[in-house]
Amino acid sequence: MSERTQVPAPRTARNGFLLFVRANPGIAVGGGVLALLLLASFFAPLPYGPTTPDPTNVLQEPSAAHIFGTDANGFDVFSRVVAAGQRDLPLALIGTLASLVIGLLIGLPLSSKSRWSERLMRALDAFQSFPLIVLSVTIVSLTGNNIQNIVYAIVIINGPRFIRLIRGEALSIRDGRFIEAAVATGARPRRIVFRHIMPNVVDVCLVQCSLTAANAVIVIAALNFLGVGVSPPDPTWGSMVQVGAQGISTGQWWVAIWPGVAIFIAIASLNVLANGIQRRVEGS
Amino acid sequence: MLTVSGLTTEFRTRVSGVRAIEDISFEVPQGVAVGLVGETGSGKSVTIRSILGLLPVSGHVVGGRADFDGVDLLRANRKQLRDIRGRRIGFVAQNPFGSLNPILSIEKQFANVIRAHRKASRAEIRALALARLESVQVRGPERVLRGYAHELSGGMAQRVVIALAMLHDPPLVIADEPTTALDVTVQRQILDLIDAQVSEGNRSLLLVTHDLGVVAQYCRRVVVMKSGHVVESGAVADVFTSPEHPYTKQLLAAVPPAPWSSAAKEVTGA
Amino acid sequence: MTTVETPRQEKPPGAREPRRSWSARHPALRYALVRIAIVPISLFVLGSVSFVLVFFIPGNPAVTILGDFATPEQVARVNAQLGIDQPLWDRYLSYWGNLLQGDLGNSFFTNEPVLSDIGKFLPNTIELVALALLVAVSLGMLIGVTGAYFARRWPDRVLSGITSALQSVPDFFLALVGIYIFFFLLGWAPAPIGRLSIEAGTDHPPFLIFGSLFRGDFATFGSAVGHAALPVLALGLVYSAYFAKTARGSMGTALTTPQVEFARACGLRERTVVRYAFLASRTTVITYIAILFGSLLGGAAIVERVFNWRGMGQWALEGVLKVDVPVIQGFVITAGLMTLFLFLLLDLVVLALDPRVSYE
Ligand SMILES: Nc1ncnc2c1ncn2[C@@H]1O[C@H](COP(=O)(O)OP(=O)(O)OP(=O)(O)O)[C@@H](O)[C@H]1O
Ligand SMILES: [Mg+2]
Repeated sequence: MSERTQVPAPRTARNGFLLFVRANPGIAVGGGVLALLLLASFFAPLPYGPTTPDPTNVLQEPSAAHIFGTDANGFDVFSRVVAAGQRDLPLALIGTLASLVIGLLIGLPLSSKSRWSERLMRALDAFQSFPLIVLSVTIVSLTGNNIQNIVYAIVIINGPRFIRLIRGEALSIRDGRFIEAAVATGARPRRIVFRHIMPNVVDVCLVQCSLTAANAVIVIAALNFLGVGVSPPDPTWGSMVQVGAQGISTGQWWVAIWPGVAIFIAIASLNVLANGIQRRVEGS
Repeated sequence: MLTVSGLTTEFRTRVSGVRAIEDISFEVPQGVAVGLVGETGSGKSVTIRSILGLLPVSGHVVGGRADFDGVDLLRANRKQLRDIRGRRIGFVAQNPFGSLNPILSIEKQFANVIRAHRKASRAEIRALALARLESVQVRGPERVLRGYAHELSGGMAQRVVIALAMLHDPPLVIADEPTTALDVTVQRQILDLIDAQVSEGNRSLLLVTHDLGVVAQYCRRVVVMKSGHVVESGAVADVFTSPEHPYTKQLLAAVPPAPWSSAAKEVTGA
Repeated sequence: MTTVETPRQEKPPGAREPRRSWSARHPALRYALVRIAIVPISLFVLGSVSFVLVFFIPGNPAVTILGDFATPEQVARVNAQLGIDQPLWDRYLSYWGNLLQGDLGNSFFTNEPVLSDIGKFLPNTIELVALALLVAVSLGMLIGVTGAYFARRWPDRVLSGITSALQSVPDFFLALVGIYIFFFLLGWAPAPIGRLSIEAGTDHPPFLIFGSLFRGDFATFGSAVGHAALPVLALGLVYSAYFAKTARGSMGTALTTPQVEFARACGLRERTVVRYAFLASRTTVITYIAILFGSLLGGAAIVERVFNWRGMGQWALEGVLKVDVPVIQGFVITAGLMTLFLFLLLDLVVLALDPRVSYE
């Protein structure tokens, strides 16, 4: 809050943008890289078709013609790495939204301090301490091996965190200490909730959303790496790493490493974004 | 004994620096109790932490001196500072349960403080700890030594803290609101105890408090702070009878003149 | 208040009113017993959950499991083992009957008893997870404590950068990078083909590393450690980031408590102060081990596959991918048991370490 009031510069749009970037470098960098990845995966012109193999050019090292090289099927690795973002990134975002919705649907009704809701939270803890990745592999392979079903996996792993978070936030609002204080200072409760509490809750949820999206990218990659939820010629980062894994001990590093680097960049930018929002929450 | 001059401390945040205290000067002479008063947030604790080198990482002393024992505490190296803390300056903090280590037995904490400054056998430590607990009127000292902080009442815990602070007979004692975290019924006992311990060894005392009544009863000199500055200082008798700064007047006027208040008692000579 | 009042009667510590039940007199013991008494209940829930798993299989389970080209005999055998034709209650009872006798059924595909498979593969997983946990906890604590001590100064910034980077790498990918660098490029690590070199075969005694060390068989020990290095480091490094973050947080808090301030004000050595802050934050880290154990077990499953480690995770993943129900059930029960006992163990450790823990 203080940051915004301290700098008395004229608020043109451009100025405002620069100010925001300077005050929130994490949000700017993380969000910027993420937006670039998304834009590139949908709109960047690709040198080769990501699903059209060239059987005469198999396992080529990176060169001017194929800057990331080609894989064992003769696919151009660069085109596939870029195009894979079309599947991985939206899926991660959908999985995150679904986890958020589950968190709201279960967390809000449980936001009481009754013994039962406490016990359910304990049960949730126990559930979370299970190797959920194995459970989600089970569920995705049972519900049909297609990529949309990975959303279930993301929700299973991340839903509990949202439930806990939203329950906690709702409890603290319901506790009403803010509202009491607001009434004491003469403000109307509605106004307080919308001006002061909701922005904070939204920020806290946004932090969890970007952490979840980062985790979702890992989950998607892990499942695809295991061959779950992959429909062959379509590229995903995880399945590309799997294809490349076979050549890694014989020196064909480029097939696995480039999609791995893409995974790393996506997760890192989401983590940076989460950190940036967290800073903002703490700062105000 | 302790001479502070021009002490200025800043807190640096990501965006800018905030000056918490500026140009603080006062003196604690040998054998004198000095009260440091001021409203909440006026910088009393920051002053003390600056002197003792206990500021949090965001805090920086940017100017001034604090001379004690011929050493400028603000520029002393870690070794000098560690040698002075606990041995030459005793410190009593606000909340005794915050001060004591919850996972160590009280005996272990005595041993730690003693061994921080000299070698001692277990038997020596035990004997000294028992003697000191007796002198701060802790009943059942053996049992207390064996036990942990959470088993003590607030008053008892603060007595233990005082015993720890006095272990090496420091010539200067600094107490930061030693009674605000305690039950009203034991506050006076604790202050009496500190007073007795201090005057026994002809020590100096720097006592931070909100309560002008306490200053009137226990201190000879007073330093009044307001928003990071010293607004007035001098002998308690002078400052209280003819306050110069309007803020001091305001403070004095705010003391409830009820018959049971210690300020009233002081004024009536009880 | 002008008269000298007698000091308020303060209860000396330890002196409680006489004649109370033993459970009131020994709250720690009572807590421990309650904690242990929960175990059978949890076991019951765990067993039942694993029973219910079968109902999630859509369509005709046998066909889903075996695929469209299964022979009628295979379908009949699987259906019989699933007990589709019997009433639910009977199936549930016989399931528990078998379970209590230690019979977890046979794999649909290999027909091996699940229990003997677990006996074969679990020790490998235990070694991998235990070593990875050791690396993760010690490295994570080191990073976290150093960062907290140099809070907001450059070591803190550098370390937290490293932590964030490690958190952004999937463990299986780090394993592949490790294989490329240390096996292919440098030749320091052995080929990722299992626990020992290929001549040694796969039928070695369980607990290869701990066992060979115990027996003094240093040749085997050396080879086993060499083969374990990459998978352990890949898992350990990634998970150390989580421990580093937790340790940084709890140690950061522990170092700004009034307790640390008082210790410093008493002239205690910095070393001592940090040690006690560390001890104060250890319960958080110990609890965190229990929380992360499940994820680590899941991560280990994938890494085991990369290194052909022949552990329980790899076995379970292969079972899961083929919808081998008894294998899945066996894994759920074993993993659940491990988690349960780890939680119990760590709770009791915390109880023993910390005199102020609340006994509910
Ligand atoms: N860690 C910190 N970071 C930033 N500013 C701080 C910090 N600690 C203290 N300050 C600032 O220093 C000022 C003085 O605080 P201080 O704690 O010394 O007040 P005080 O006089 O001891 O008040 P109280 O009577 O409530 O103890 C505060 O107004 C606060 O803004
Ligand atoms: Mg203070």
